[in-house]
Amino acid sequence: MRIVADLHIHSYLSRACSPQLRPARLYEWCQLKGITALSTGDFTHPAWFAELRGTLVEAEAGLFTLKPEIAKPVDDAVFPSCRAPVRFVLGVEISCIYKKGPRVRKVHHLVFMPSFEAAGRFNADLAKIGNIRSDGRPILGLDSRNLLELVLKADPQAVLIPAHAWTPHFAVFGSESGFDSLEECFEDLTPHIFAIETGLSSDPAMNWRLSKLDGITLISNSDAHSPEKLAREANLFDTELSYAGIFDAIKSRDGRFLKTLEFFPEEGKYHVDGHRKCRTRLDPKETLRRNGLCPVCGKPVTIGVLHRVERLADRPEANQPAGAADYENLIPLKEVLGEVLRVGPASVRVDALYRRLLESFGNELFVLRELPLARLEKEHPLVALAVDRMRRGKVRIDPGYDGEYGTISLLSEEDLTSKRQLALFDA
Amino acid sequence: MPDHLNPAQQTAVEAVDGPVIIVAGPGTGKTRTFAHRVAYLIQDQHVPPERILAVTFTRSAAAEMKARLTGLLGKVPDGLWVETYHAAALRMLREQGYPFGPGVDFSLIADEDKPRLLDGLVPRKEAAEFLDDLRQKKQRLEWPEAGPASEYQKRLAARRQLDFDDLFLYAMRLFEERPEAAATYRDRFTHIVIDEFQDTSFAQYRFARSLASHHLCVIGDPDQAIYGFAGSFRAFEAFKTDFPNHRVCRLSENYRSQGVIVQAASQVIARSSAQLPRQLTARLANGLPLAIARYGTDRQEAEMIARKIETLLGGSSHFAIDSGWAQADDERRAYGLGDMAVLYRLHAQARAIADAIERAGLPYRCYGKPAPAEDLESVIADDTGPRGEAINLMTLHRAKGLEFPVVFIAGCEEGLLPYERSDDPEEERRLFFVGMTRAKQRLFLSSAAKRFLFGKTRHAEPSPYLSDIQNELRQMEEVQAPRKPPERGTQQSLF
Repeated sequence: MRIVADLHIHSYLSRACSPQLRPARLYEWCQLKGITALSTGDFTHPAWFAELRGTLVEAEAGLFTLKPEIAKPVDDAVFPSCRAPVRFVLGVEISCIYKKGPRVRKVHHLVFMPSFEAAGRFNADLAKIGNIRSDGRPILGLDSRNLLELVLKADPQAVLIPAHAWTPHFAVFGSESGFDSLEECFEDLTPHIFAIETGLSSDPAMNWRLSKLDGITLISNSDAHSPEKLAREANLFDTELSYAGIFDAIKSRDGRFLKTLEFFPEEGKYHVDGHRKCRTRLDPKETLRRNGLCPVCGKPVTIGVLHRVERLADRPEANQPAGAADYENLIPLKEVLGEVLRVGPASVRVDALYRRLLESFGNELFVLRELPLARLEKEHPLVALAVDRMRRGKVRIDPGYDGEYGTISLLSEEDLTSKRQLALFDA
Repeated sequence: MPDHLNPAQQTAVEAVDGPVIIVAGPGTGKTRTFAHRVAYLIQDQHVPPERILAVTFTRSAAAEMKARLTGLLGKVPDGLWVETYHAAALRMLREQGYPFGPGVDFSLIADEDKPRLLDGLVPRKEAAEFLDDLRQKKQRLEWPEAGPASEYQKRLAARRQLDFDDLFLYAMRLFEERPEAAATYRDRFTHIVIDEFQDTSFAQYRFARSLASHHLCVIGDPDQAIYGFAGSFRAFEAFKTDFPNHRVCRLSENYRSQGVIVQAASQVIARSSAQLPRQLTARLANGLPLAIARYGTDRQEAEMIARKIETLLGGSSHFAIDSGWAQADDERRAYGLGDMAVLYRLHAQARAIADAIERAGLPYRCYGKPAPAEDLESVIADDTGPRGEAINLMTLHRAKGLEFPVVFIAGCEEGLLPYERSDDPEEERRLFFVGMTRAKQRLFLSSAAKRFLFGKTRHAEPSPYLSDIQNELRQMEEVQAPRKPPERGTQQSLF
């Protein structure tokens, strides 16, 4: 069956995360967003682990759903147009901070377990090594290779996938504290790495410029710190609804993994180079011309993902390898609506229109990707125009840098004024 | 540190005849000189390895010495003894079948088993004090003659057990009862080299002295003697008296720490009386100034240490970096977790610091009290499985012999440094000196105006040691408690 999976999120127990990130809210938002399978996030945290055990039941092998008595009132409140089954997979992001050679490495990894028993074994091992009580995304002073060893020991079906592989500060290929190859990071256990997460600031095409990633599957997830951010990136499968169905599809590259749904990478926080504090955004070529130094403060700039890919790439152009899934770029619906209504995406007016569209047509991903434009046009012509542009990739972007999101626009001033009257009726 | 030995180290390595004192200040390449000296004896002087006894202070120091010898000689030569005092005594007792007779083995009693052995002898509440007292007596080589101590001794013997301090009592008794046994070792070990000599106890000293016949070399730094409470005595003074024809070699070039750290530490120790002429010069550049900070409370101090650690890690989360929580540091480099140590005078200070680091979600390892003879830890099985890197939390005492790129010393306050219950203020100063000189690149000294300790809130001025450090070496940071917003009532009354 068709499955949309978002495999990287956090719970309310992770640092700087929304208190809304609890099982029932996640279950609700999955339906609004159009997610079939969601990572629980944070399963190493004892309180979250206990909460998950208390609220979830196994539905298919390795996949869990909310207990019926908890699900019922949530289902009743979800728009009928959006109702759909939701599954959880036990996942966590782990931050490894350690020295390898003379350098400090800071690398984040996604870990998945096929059962509560396996997750429990893994948690017990980690608790002996470090502190997993303080943060849903635990920080361990553990070498990535040794973490992978513990993952593999916990269960034969357990999986480790390097997270947002290109971000400068916390990634396997990061410019600040990462590596130049998976082998450097995982040594003898590298063959167990069959996928990486591309992160918001890179898309598959950028990764296809590295021949050494040809056999590695690229997955995309939201890394949501609040429920509204779910599925801003996600994975689309046509596979059996089970833990093995999802991860075998990622591993085997046999066509069951259809595509990833991506941010426009320029919108990501670390796409190009620069200094946020100095408000300096630099194209990689410009950075090189300036010897990596900020024209404002004279210190080295934060090297973004585009630059880093360029540094490690061995192909001048992207070349989609055999078996690689496709991708398409998306913009979160609320951002689209915010631009149409000329207000912030978190505003009350945007929320009202958002809910109206979902109630009329179905979940957010359906509206963004599949809803026939003619139907949307009847409801809101300007939104239809913006969504059409998004689907065709007709966007204007000021790229993100050094932790600052890029800004994206779909509509011109002309679009907004000529259709303004129509828009006003609907807003 | 350069590849070759510096002239002072070279002289110390080659001064092999007769009794020699090598005074080695912190970071001057003491361990290296020690290892080179042993290698020199074997390679250049052709001393058979079995004629050499190398004594280290801890088991980990012995392991490091063996690693260095392997580096210099290709392997640890057969027959060479690299042992702690305790392990050397233990090995001799076992070889001689003493005290329970040939073939009758014995074990060492674990600390936690001792109180049980005192059942019916000493009220449980007094057990710790009793054992401490007994320990000190044994370190002065006083046999328990009567009363509960002697009964305890009998019970130990009935279990075929010794406690750590018994090792020297029995070794000395062995040498008395069987002079030929002592002669065996005296003849065998023509060359004895002893590390960390300043912390040698009376019992250990007598043990070593009874083995020394020809060439005895002691290495250490009287300014780093910090184990007075554990029964050490002025070992260098005793050595000078007992071996009047000794030579003194001095290592004074510090390769470990940035210049400001060496200078500040020297200014602190300069106020204490010197047992041997002292000198310490930095070989590294000055580096960044020392950070001396004063906080309102111990909680605030702990919070700011955790925050600084996060900064020095280069930010440990996107949140910390993007929000500016981890402020930019003056130095653009990232330190690892294990590069950092937070040191304090008392174990009781650890809790607040550990809590703050825990809240930051960072891994730490809090080292407990060193076992009375940490050097005999072989009885404790080593942890298996991977161990993560972690921020090190330990007492100043525990930090002896270690070094870290980044050192925080928390609680630099009157009452703690010097500790008000210590009866040796000179030793407290040395302890602070030892703590400061653990730092390679960065040293952070902090104090709190109010501290909750042993169930009481106490107010304290900064440690007097801080005022011995010249202003130009340091950067001051005054942190006040966040001001409370004015209360609504008072504001309204203004109108």
